[in-house]
Amino acid sequence: MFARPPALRGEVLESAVTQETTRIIEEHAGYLLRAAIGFGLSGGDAEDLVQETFKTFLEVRGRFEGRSSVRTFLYGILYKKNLERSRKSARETAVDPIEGAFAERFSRRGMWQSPPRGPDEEVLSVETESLIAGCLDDLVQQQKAAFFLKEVERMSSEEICNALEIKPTHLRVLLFRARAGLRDCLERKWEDRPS
Amino acid sequence: MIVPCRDIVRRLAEGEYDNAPLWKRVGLRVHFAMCWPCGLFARQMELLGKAARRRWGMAPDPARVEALRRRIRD
Repeated sequence: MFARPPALRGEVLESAVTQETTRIIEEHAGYLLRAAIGFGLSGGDAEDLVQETFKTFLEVRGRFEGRSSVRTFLYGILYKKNLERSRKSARETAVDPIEGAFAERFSRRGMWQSPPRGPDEEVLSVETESLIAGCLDDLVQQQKAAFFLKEVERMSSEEICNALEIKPTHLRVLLFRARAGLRDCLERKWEDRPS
Repeated sequence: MIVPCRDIVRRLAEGEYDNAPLWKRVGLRVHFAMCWPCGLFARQMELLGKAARRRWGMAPDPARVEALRRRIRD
């Protein structure tokens, strides 16, 4: 069999890359849009971020080594792009106020001295959901991303660490601060709500 | 040795028990049965996850996703 002329081989390759890219866009655009909204962006901004994410993906796809799934790789780009957009507010502080608030709830021996309060129900009510929604919006970027990928996308800790390029110990801190912060916020809003 | 409540709820929030072996989860349940504040804290963690999935877990509007795909492809 004759070898294809070089130009044609190039065209075939280009066409295969285009098809693969189209397939990746088809498969992941919806998930990325959901994540962008979950990271706290509103409609138009979320769509812009997804578009930027794919643009970057096309530029750096040669670096994708297949150690994580394409979706994890795309989440990583989406997350970094979002951080770039909101760099000032996104920075995770070394000391989060939730750490102090959490510590104050316990005695020196680690027993409860200020037990948790707030809703305790099996079925989520519309009222509780709207209170929690307000709290979710207040999380800092890194915590929001870790919480979203864990709870909504149900990604494993290893996948989240790959996507966010963080170590497992950092992920534990982010999840603790996100969840404990949300719980404290829910408690406050629950007690302040008009009866 | 008894693990203090502070350590239990901290590990819970950090996700240490998310994929823990059965014996560890059973131990946790036993603790919750004896300690209502830890039990309430744990249920509130579940509530937060449920609320996040209800708020963001739905697939976005298909028409909107299709428009976005077109925009990216073009």
